[in-house]
Amino acid sequence: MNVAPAPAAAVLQAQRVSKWFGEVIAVNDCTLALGPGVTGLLGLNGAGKTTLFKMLSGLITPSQGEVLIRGHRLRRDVGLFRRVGFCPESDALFDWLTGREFLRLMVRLMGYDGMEVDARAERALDLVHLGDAADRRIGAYSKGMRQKVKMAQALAHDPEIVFLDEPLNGMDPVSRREIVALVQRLGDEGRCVVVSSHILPEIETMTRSIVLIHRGKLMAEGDITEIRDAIHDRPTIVALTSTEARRLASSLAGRDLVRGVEIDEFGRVVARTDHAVNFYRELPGWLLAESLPVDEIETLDDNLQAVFDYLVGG
Amino acid sequence: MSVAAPPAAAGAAAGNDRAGNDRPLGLAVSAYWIAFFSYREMVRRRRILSVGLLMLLPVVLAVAWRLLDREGAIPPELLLANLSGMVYIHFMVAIVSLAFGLSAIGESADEGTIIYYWTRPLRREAIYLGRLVAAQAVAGLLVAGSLVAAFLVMTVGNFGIISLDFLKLYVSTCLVILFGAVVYTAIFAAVGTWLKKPMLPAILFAFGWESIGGNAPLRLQELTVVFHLRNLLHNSAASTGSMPNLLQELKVMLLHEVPPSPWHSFLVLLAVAVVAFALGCWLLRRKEIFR
Repeated sequence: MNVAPAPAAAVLQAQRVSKWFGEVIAVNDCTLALGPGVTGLLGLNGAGKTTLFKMLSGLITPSQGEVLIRGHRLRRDVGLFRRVGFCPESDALFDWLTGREFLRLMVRLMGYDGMEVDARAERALDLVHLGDAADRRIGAYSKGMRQKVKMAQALAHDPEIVFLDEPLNGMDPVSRREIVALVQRLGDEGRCVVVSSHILPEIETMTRSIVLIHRGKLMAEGDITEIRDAIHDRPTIVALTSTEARRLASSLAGRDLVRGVEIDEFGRVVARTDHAVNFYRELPGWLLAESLPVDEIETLDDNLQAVFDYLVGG
Repeated sequence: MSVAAPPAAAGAAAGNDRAGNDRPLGLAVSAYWIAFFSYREMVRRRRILSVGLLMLLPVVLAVAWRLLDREGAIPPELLLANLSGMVYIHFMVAIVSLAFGLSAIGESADEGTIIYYWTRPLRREAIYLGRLVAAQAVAGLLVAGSLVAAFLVMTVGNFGIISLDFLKLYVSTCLVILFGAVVYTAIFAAVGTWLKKPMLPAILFAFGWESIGGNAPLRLQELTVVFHLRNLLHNSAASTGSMPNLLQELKVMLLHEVPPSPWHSFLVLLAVAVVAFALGCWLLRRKEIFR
């Protein structure tokens, strides 16, 4: 299911990539093109999500097909890593270095020297709010701080493409909020940000755009709502709060776009529709025509968890 | 977030084609920085203590020589020749190279820290070279420390033994041993890059093949590193004119085995190190990072 057209200026492309380990096919013939913005890479454990993520980020080579960054192969043209920031899931770090020393090394290895190294390291530390702990050894950092320093090294050189593997692991709620806001801002700035996570609400706080991989195959790609709307065998459930619930329910019940209506235990009118996009387009007209008051409209199952469950059969 | 967007973000975001800038970093500069930080990392490893303690063995032997041989039955040149030929070349150099060579790339890949080098615009050769040079420097430092300590034990308060011949022998011995550490570390680094569990094969190579092959008859022994190191040592000992090289002479007389020239051995060892380096680079380029 691919509901989003390939971005005109795809920054990152996977062209019919497959990866197998012996007789096990981890990723099977996946094609995708990612442009600016945040994209969540989702999948159950063992679905091939990690393998696809590592192929996209140049850590492993596809058995077949190729991964391109602006038309060039990352595995072959390692100079392209200047455009890439990578925040690994692994907790391994240079524990004997201070946060500042680590970032300076990472910036230096990106090709910067002199004052630029210090300036970029400082800016990256500020970006993740780690300035106060910059001179402490990484070995003494908490899990959340380690996560932040990994994030900082991925961003210190202003990459065009950012790969974040489980970026919120071990973070406290305040840090989570900061990092989520940072990720959203990276996407708003026009960077191509790929976030891999198995915690769906985590992804949902960062983006509505997802790539879902299941059993090694690309199952869905695009906006969550659009993907949800394309799942025709599962009607979208919309809850409407109204002071005239009964009149609203009977009005909706006769519409072609509405498959069923009921009033739930909270007094809300719950309608099921096979075409959510058309339903939302028509709904204001219906309400106005019959002077039906509505205080709140909520789609109960166009969240990521629902989409995920419908698609992978959870 | 209160932090302003990085200034270059707009350029990056617009997909600014920085093609001219998409070249990997220079080999020498990147290898230098990797070597510099890797050296600092390796000297902090716990194993440096255990290996360092092992490296005291020749020093202990030198102490025993000072304490027990008061009559001068064993000349210092003979002690040095035995320490270098039997203790350092056969044992110490292999141990220290094994400890730091195997882990140069393999451990970093297993732990996951190699990812921070891997995701930079660095040639894989630069990563390999930097890590290898750091491992060789640490191995060389431990060996050199042991050699200096043994020398001090032999000579302090016993300055009569210091002659020009002895000094020449000592310096040339040190150079051969350090060269041996460089070659062995290069071999073990390649093995560590190649195999997921390299310890057993490396031990079998260092203490199996090198011991058996190194003492095998005829030209088979020329296929070992230890033979060529010994050949260099024998030549340096013979060139000082201070120690009869009986074993070598006996072999020449009985087996008509003419040992290769020191230059031959030197070039063979150099070639082994270069081939191991090239192989290691090739393996690293093909390596996949799963952590």
